[in-house]
Amino acid sequence: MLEFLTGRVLRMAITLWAIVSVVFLATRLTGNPIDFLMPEGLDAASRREMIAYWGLDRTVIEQYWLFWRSLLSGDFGLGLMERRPVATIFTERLWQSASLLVATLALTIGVGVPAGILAAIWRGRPGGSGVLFAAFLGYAIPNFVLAILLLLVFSYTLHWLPSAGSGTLLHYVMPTIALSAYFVAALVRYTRNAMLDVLSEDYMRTARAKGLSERAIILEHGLRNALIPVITVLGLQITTLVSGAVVVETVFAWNGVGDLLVGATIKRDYPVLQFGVLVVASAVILVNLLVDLTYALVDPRVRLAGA
Amino acid sequence: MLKTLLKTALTAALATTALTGLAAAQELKVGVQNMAPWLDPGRDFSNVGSQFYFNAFDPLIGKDASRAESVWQPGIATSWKQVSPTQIELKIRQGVTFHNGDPMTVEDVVFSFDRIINSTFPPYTVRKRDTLPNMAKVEAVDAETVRITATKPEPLFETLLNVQQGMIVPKKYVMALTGDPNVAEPSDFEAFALKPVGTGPYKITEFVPNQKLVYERFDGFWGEKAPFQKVTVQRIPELSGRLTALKNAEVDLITNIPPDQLDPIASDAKLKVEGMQTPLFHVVIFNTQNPKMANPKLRQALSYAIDRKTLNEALWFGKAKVPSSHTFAQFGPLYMPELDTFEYDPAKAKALLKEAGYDGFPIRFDTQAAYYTNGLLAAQAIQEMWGAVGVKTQLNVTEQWTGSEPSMMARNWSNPMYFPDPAGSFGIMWAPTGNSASEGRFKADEAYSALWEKFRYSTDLAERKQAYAGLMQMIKNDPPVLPLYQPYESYGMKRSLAWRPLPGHIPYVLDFRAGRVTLAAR
Repeated sequence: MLEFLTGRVLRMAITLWAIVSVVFLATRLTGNPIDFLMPEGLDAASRREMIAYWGLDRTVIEQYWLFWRSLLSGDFGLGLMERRPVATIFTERLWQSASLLVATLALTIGVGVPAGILAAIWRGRPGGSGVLFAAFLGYAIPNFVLAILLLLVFSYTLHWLPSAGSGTLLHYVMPTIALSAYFVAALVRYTRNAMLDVLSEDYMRTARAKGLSERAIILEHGLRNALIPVITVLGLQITTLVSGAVVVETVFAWNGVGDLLVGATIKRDYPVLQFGVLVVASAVILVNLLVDLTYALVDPRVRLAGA
Repeated sequence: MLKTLLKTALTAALATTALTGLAAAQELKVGVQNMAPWLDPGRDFSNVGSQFYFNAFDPLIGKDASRAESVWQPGIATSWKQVSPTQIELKIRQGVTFHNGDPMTVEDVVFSFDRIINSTFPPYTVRKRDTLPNMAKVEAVDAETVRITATKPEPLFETLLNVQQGMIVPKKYVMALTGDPNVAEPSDFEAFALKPVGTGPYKITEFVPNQKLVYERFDGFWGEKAPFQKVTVQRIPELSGRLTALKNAEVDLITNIPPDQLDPIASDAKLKVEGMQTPLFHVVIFNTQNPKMANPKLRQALSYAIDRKTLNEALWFGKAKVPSSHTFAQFGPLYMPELDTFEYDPAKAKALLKEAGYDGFPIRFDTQAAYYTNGLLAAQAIQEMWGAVGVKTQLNVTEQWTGSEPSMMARNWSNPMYFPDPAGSFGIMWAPTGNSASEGRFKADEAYSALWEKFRYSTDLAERKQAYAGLMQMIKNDPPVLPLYQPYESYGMKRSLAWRPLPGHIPYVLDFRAGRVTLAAR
């Protein structure tokens, strides 16, 4: 187990190093922040001085060395745009994104799993087809289209829901729906398929033969077994969710991490961008590691293969 | 009987109050396209930041914002006198308080200017160069008087002491923000930009960079008190988001509405649109130093070939303003619409192309996709217009500023009015040492430089005017720039809100001071 763990952590560190290095180089090769932060142009002397003030007059190799040195000493630097510590900029926005993420996950599981079960039980009946069709719609509609449609109906026309910002619980309704639709749809299909597989297992027939109620059969024996692959899929989807949030955040003026990263990319705000990529990449890698570890605990074969 | 009469009168009075909306709302909510990443009037030059300073900061010399031409008013200075061509003395208002409670003194005035004209902080040095290059020294004469000395004779003292970059900031507060409280360190200035403090009618009580700004009425303000207890400014980047927030009564006012999106607001009985031709030009620039573009006749031809009137009608519904010269109404006596520096004449364009020996090589036209309203559409239309006189255009849509690239041939840009004088718009960009010259796409010859000196520093108005006309003639003969139009900047708001952009401000200022805005409570 220790060997497995060391291998995984080492691989994780190498992946992180590679991702951050690629971002570091790619953003520096494709433009200078001065062209984006001062788009109306600047006289030559001022341009030189500003670049020096930001420490961007050093060679890329020097900058790269300094970046890792300060990173390892826990100093993440100041954002070029906001001139604040990037860690502060991130924490401020992280909880906004995280709370939206939690709401989206809750809605996804709360609707997706029951709907998937129903679709499996009602297989071949109009109810089942109805659920599947709704899932098909949710799967097909891009989240930014859905976001604008929701805005148009519930804010612009009916005036039921607030459209911009994240001040109250009501502000969560539309962004959560817009973000969840795709994942609910995905989950409905996975749950349905997993349920159908499980329902045809021998032990289900045994349960029925024991004289258990249909409710107990489905919830106790069916769902528990069906959920294992569903949880795996859910873990993978979380990473997709992070990227999907970018557009939805912009439409609803949600000041989240996605919005921050897009702005930092366009303006070449290197410190923000590097830190952001580091955080997001770490999160994704960590989720993967946790999934792997769970497998390893459950299934001895994975442990052997990893070593 | 008397009782009934009184009762009736009272009811009638109350009803009238309600009907005329005399009961004013206490809070104003604004949705803006962009929020500033930091707020320090001294180092800021941007269209985003300039929206916000006037509510919280005061310049030394004030100005009647309701009029285009400059009518100076007392500000932090109550009176002033130019004691020589290079010196001005100002009496500083007594009893002014900063938002943090510190009394404002001549020390603060000296500090505010000194931090820029004797800058040790690169972002201020930049502003010294483009806005206050002629200011040499600022000193306190006594507890009520400040003297400012210029290097060369300065005809524009009032104009320059009214600029946003010269708004007054608190010395003690700034210096104490980080490190040694008796030294102004770069980190102090960086910290100030996140916790700005001024003397204006509103104090900034919450500022989240790139997200949100909250003003609250400052009861210690020296002038007429602010009309709102609170003004909340929220960033709503998407146009559809801003329109929805306004329709949904989440905000009272929204900014940056393109001309083709005015209908949803104008057609709503509860909403209205206000707008103004902004003192800013969208321009086409030519790289005069690119060998392929060196022939003035070629650039003249490209200028003559652009039908700006059609651009205005098609892209701005005729609401923008097509200028005859590089001139704004805000210049007052130096406003010269009678000049014919820029014209449309496709026949002349064709003739000039022949004379220039244009052999059909493609002209690269750079443009950013979404930076200027209608920027890309204008570029595409210009491509067609150049095509009509036989010029091949290669549209190059980029993300970034290419103005300093030697390979640049032509591109779109803007020339804003930074202060109300030709020196504050044309000059910033096209002076012999201005932005374009130092980026290497424009080079002034001796005659141009001599005439520029005369225009900029002569203290005789008639001479300045004549010199500027001469400069415009030189631009016409050897054009580095073509102003397309002054865009029409639109704002959407509740019908009950009485607010509009004012011609006496630099572009984009959101002025919520007393007398500038009211919002009925219902």
